[in-house]
Amino acid sequence: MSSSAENPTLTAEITKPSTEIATETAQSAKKITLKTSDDQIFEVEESVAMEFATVKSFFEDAPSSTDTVPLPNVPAKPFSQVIEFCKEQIKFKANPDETEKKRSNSEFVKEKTNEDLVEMIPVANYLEIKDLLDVLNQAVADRIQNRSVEYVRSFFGIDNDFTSEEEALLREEHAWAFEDVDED
Amino acid sequence: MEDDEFKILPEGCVSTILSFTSPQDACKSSLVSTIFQSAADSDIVWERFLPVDYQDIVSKSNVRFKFSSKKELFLHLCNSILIDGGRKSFRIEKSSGKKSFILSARDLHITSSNDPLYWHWASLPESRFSEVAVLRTVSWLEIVGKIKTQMLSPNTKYGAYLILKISERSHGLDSMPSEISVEVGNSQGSTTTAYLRLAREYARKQQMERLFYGNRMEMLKSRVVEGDGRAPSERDDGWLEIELGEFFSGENDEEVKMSLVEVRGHHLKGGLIIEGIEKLLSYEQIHGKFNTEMLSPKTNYGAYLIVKFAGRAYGLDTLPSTHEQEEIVLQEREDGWIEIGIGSFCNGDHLKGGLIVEGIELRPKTLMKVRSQFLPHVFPTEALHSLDDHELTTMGSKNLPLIFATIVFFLLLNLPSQTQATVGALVSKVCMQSDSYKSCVQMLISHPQTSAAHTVKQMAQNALELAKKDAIATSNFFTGLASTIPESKAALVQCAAYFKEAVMFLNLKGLEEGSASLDVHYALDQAGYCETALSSARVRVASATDRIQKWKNVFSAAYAAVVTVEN
Repeated sequence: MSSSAENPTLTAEITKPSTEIATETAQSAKKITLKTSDDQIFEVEESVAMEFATVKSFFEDAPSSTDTVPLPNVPAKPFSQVIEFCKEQIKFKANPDETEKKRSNSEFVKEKTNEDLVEMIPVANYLEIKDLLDVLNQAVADRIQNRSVEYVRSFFGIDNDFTSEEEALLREEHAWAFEDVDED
Repeated sequence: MEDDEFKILPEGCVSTILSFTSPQDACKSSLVSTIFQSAADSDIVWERFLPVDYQDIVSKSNVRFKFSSKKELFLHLCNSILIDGGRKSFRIEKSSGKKSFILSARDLHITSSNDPLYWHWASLPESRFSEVAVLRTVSWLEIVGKIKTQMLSPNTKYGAYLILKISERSHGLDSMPSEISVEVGNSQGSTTTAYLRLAREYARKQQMERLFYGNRMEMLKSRVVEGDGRAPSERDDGWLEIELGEFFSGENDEEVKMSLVEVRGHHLKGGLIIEGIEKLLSYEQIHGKFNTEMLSPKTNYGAYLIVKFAGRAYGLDTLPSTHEQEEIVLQEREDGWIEIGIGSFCNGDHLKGGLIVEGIELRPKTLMKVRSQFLPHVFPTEALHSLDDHELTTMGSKNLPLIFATIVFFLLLNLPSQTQATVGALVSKVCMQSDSYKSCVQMLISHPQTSAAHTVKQMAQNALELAKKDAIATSNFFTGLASTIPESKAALVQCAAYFKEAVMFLNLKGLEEGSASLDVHYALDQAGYCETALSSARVRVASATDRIQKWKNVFSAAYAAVVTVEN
């Protein structure tokens, strides 16, 4: 926590452009401490943490809180990727460029494995990061389109919980949908 | 993550993801799991698949219908409904959710259609509309349909089809081609020609016509624009259809004009050749207008005139329709009508008869999905596309040499490898390409024919043969296993099927055609599917794992040999 904590927003704005690289050591950037479900501690700049609607409303309810914010539904691995995304997003807030933003978003999802994407969705959903959720949902939709049921199951790591009778019935009901499926 | 709670997506998220896919994907996803099933049935998903103006369309329906969910409504709209007082038929395409319309003959502008001397309106049991236009006899045949692109699905390529029937006794309909065209907005659209005739009738008539009217027909043909002289094709609904043309429905609202015209002939037709003079018709002109606002925006629509040829149709195809237009032929539709791709068509001054017009259909043109394994010639891009992140991670490094081999092999397609070498040198040359040099050498040396192989190609043939035999053996192995382990039967039977398919890909033809490394790779995919099937059904049978591994070793040797040949 810094000495100028009484006016964090202003300080952040002033210092941002010049201290982009040095943020880690910058005295002015207020940090928020977050604890994941697997007990990992993340120190995140306030501006990034405010991208998480859930965390934001936590601070709106308790503005003076300096405690560590527990995130019981958020494991560390996807969380670090979510932070990566939000850091990029903040750049576009100061300097909106839709094409560049789109490019950056697609770059972000392109590098992620299926597992990464699937793990990030509940996190983005819990933290209510709408932009990220949109990007993830679209990316996942693109990857499962025209794929077989078996592929989708393994994509999401889901077990088939239908009985074989139920499955046969459903397959019959939606028989038309099973034509022309891409090879997995 | 040990805790499953984090892995399971909230149902709302699943719904949102599915709403970004397609109706087909959503339906298929019902089978994934119970959570997916209820997500896939949700209104969030189907609201997005329905056309934006679905409420407007439903309100124009002739009948009131109740639905308990958006999905039910969607599926209901996939079967045609009549709207606008029965003058149009509307449906959405199941797989894509795109809109299709059929404009009934009453919704078209058909010249002289209100004069009972030339046309009469009849009710046919096989028509979806209460009335169809039946040509008595005309010399001026003109059928025009119009629609606004806003009514159609946006950004979609549509085809316009004239739906019609041609009667046994049609006359004058195909003496010359009719001109058909589709225009969007003010831009000059495509124009071509069509013959209003039945393919089977034509064969019979052709000889006689050539004999008696050869010159005349050439002369008549020269009066209209050059065109492909397309003929009607049969629809599933029993009607014929002619594609009048295609167009792209973009973001803007524009009027699409589709027409079929044959007015250039100036000759009477009908009684001279075909019996039934009393039914002679001279020129027909059918027009349809349609506001594109009714169609899905940004969609390529085609206009199809839906007609039938009456029992005694004649003169309809003596002349191609209008000037500067091309010929088009009609196609029979499933519903008993014939479709003519609309352009405009007016027949010459000759009499024509025996045509029944049902309407014009506008439906999205669907691209045939090309499946790479059946079209080896397009495989390079296909193959590369399909290698997405997932496959790269699950298949590991195997794909990299494949991509490389695919590219290299294309460059070297025509360089036959006739290298003569000693068997030992051949084997080691081949096996250098393999993942496992040792097992590859063992495999090839154990094969008696290897010593008889003098070229890499012969060795590749042998290795392919081996891999094929082993795939059959593996398939049989799984069939056998399925009967001994009933609780895992489904997955094991699947495996047997996968390996059976693998046999197909291991063909020797590929070596001649230069597609072997790709074909062979598809065989490997089959093994991968089998492994996925086993793991998702939680089948852990050591002998099965060994069996697959053994096949993979054989395969790997064959693959190495094939790649060596292609290099």
